[in-house]
Amino acid sequence: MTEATSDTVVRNRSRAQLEALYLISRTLNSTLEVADVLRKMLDLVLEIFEADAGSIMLEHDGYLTIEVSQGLEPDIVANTRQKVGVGIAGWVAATGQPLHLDGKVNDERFVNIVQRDDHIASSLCVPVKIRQATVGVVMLRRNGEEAFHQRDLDFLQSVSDLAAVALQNARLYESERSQRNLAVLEHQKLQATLASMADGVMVINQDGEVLTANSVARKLLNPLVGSRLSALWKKHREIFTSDESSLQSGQRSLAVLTTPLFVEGKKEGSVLVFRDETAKRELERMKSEFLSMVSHELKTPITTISAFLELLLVKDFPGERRHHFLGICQDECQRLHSLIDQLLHLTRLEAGRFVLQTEKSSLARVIQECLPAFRETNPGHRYVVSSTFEDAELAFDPMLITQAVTNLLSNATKYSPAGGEIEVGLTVEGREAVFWVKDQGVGIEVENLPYIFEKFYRVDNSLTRETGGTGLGLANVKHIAEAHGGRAWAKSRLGQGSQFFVALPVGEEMEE
Amino acid sequence: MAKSILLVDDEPHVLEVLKVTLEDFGFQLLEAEDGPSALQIARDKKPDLVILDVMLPSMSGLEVCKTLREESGESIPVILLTARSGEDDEKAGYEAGADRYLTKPFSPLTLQTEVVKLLSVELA
Repeated sequence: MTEATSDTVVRNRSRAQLEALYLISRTLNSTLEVADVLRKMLDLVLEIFEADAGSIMLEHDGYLTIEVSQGLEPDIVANTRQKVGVGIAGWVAATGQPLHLDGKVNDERFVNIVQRDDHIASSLCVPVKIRQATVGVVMLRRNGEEAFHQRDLDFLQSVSDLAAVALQNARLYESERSQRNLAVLEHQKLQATLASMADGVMVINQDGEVLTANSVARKLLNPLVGSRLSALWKKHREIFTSDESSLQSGQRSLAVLTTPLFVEGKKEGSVLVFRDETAKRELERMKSEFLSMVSHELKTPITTISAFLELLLVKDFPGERRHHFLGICQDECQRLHSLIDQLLHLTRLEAGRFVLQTEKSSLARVIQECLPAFRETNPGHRYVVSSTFEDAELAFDPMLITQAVTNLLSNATKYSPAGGEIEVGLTVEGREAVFWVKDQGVGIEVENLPYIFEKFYRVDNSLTRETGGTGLGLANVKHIAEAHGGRAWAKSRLGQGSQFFVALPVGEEMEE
Repeated sequence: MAKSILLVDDEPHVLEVLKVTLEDFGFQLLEAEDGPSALQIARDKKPDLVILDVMLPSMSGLEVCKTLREESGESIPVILLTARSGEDDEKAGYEAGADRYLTKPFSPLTLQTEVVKLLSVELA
């Protein structure tokens, strides 16, 4: 190679290098993703420097890992994790100095850490610096005869400095974007949380302006203020001044929890949480009504017993009358006993603590054995067995089923005060044995039918006591049916009698 | 003529123990098991005292008491005898026009005393 040609080569190279720098600068600055910047940078330098292999490593927590590479063995790419200060890349990262290794490594500094044979490579390794700090390393390698020149190293460092600027931009952009995404995500999460809450939530500022409200709050407050939530501020000031209050919104009873909203230590408004307690209050009301009903039912026999006992203590009645009074006391004790049993059964069945004492038996027999007691005590009613009365052999708890039948029969008796016929039937339909009790009594209004198996529920639960029941009989029937894997239901029309059904599974589904 | 007392309760055993409680005083004892028939007997027989349960079928004792007050003024004393022992219940009882509010279970001796007192006050 002559001097002249050598000069031309140098000039051409300089122009090519300027063009390359311009291209790199333009490409990298139009790229906003860190990964893209690195990829494009590597592609460009590989091309410009006619390198056979190259990689860009970035430093995280004192270690360098390969972010992008070309021409390296896959397992090297996957496994390289270079501690800063160790190895060639580690030395560059630690010192911030570019490094040109040509073939044999003679440098004392690396003699212990670089072990390559003579043929392998001419390598360039430069740091990527952002504000004096080394954040990564670019490495290039040629495998062929022509080694890198020292000027290549200077040029690569220039490229690396340009790339560092692009990398910093991309990093800033990514961090800003991820924070923005995070903020959007947080906002969406908050909105979704508010929307899916069972409670109504409303945030209001010091002037009574509604800042945000979820759909539950709008729904709950609609009967009270319509769509103008801010009217709450004028109409119900009291809920903003106390921590806990209550509101009546149409038919709904709302519990209101009020918390001051502090922004940077300054009170800016209030957060109000509205909870619909209509069902809870209704349940409380029914419970207290039930308790008063139970207490009345318990007191009635006790009244008779204690009054007769007091009279027997203070006065000498003739033997026959005394015997009669004591007989009444005994009956009333029995009545107390069965009421308490009924209550206990219900409590146990409800708590699911009841263990079925099943045995394979005739359902028809168990049902029919319930009838004589009713025939004896209620001469005004006729208890008949229907023409559709098949027998079914199945596994059931005879004591519980007897209780269910008894409850249905006494219900039918109570609700047909004028007497009449009470019919008992039993059919096997598919895999179910269905027994039913039908009366000609007062019947039940259609809208009350869905509730009659509920505990405490009585069609008329006022002071006027129509039946003297506890409101437990049908609830027990339902629990007994369900404990057997069956179900209970009723058909009725007001004034036209009622028919109550219990279905029990037959065969394998039956739990033994 | 013997003083008459109307006993109203839907529990036959309670009615019976009331009769035994008051049997030695020479009163004429009338009985009813529900509100409407109690009012009918009150109109027909003009009893000197009514002993009235509150939780009655079809018409509550409170309504019976009010109707009685509307129809006959203050002339017939009424003892409410009920299992409802709350303060509110007692208040409602007096508001309905009752002269005494006794709760179940009751002491026959106490009831005897109250009856004698009420009827002597009426006599005076």
